[in-house]
Amino acid sequence: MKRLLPVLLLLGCPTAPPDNPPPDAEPPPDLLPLGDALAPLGELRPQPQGSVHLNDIVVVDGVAWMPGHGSVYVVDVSDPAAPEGIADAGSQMYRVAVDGDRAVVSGRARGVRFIGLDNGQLLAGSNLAQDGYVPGGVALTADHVLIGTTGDGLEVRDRQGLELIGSVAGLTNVVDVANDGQTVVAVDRDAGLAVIDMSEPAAPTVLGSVALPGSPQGVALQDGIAYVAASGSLAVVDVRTPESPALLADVLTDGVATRVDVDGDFVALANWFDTRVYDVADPGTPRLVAVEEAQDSAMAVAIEGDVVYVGDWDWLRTYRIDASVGAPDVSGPAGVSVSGGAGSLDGSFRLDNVGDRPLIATLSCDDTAVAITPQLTVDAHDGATVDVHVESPSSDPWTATCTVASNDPDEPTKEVLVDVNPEGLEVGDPAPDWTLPDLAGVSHSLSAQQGNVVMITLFSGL
Amino acid sequence: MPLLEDLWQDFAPRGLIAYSVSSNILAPDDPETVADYVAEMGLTMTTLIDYDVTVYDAYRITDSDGFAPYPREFIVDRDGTVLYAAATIDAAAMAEVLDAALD
Repeated sequence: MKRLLPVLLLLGCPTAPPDNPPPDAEPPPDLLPLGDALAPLGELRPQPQGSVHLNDIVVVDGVAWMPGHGSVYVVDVSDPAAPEGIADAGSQMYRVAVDGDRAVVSGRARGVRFIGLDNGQLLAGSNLAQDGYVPGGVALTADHVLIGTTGDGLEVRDRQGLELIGSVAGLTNVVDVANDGQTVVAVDRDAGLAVIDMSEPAAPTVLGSVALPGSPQGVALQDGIAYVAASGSLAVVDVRTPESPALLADVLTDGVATRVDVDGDFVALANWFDTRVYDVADPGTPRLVAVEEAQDSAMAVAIEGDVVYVGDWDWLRTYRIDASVGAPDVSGPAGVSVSGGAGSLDGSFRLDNVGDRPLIATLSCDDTAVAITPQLTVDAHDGATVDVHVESPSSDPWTATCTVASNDPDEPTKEVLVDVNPEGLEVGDPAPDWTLPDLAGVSHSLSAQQGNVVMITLFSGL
Repeated sequence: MPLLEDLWQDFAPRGLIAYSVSSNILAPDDPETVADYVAEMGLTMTTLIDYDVTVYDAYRITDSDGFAPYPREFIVDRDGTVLYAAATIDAAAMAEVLDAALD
């Protein structure tokens, strides 16, 4: 039975239940045969009885760290098809951040604690709990713990004793924080998404911020692009210019987005009624590629490579994304001819994407005398012209090989032969002789027709 | 192809010899399939099959995209010299060449 929404409403989620979508709701993005896009791998109920209620999942080095109502469950997922419990500790745990075999866990009413994994044993580290202290999302940097709190905003604490070093002015209601090694972002119920300057940990500041389309609940960050689980939508924010973060996309999720994770070209979203996987090869146009219907309530999610970890209340389920479903599909000629003798010559060919997702291609050639369009993005079921410029040292024929590297999963590299000054038959040349059979098997030859004018057409019935 | 058939019909009385050569680079030709195609196109000139695509290779065209292979039209003079070579069917241009060659 599905849990009902009041739990979320208590968390302050302002989004209408999906049964009553907002009036401006647009139809969901193109749906693909989703059952085929996620191949089931394995499942685990980390605790046989009682409420597990998974709140978060982080997978690092083949270990899944999963805070839940029942405990922090630490699960061996080195074989994602056979998840196996290692240890658990505590109760009423909420969010986690992991660095190697050390993790910091927040427990909302239970404060914040460090735990570690050592030879299959969970070790307890520093612990911080005080009345009225409500920590939410957490992140780790090399020296600090970043803790989003309700009331105290974004805190910077040291990694040894969890001593408070600084906090960010202007933020009071931070629900999650993420760090991709370059940039730190926080999502705040009041201030939206904020990019944080951590250069002075004792006095961190907001470099820039942007309003979010829905109440944020979780954020993930990769290569300067932030993905926000914003209740009724997945918001994508470009934070590569920290002073002016820009909303790239706002995708309605037909649910209540609570957690989000990103790896490579895919984003996974825990959406209460289901878990969704988006292709974000082009972050500005996330494409829904898979939906796993929740058996209970999907509140936690992680993605690592092509494996999706679904936290559905009491259960962890694992899936492998079949990237060939709805994939980009490159199509183009085996070669291109460039004629004109010596010097600067130009040619071109058409590169088509006959697949269902954007094709992103990088082109290069094995000869410095050939310059080719270096990069192309081709929308689904569209094409683009590739320009080829050749500096030919002479009018003699020669060839080079160019390579189209793309996100086509079936053809990650495709070779295109550049045929410069190709040899061919021209007016005035002697016609090469031939002897060929007709449909009845009778031989005919050109030389036998000496003295006659002969018309020849080469065709193919295919 | 019907344009070529018209040319052939027009110039055959003046001594033109015409061959249509099936030159399939993708898969081995089989005479039945080719015969069906030729019948469908209404071709009456002699059809030959370039099983090992040697004619295809020998009769490349310089100023076209050598990888967009069909059709290719050639006119060969009485002494075996190429009078016309093109990768598109331009019936008017071919008629002009044939008219001059068959004088």
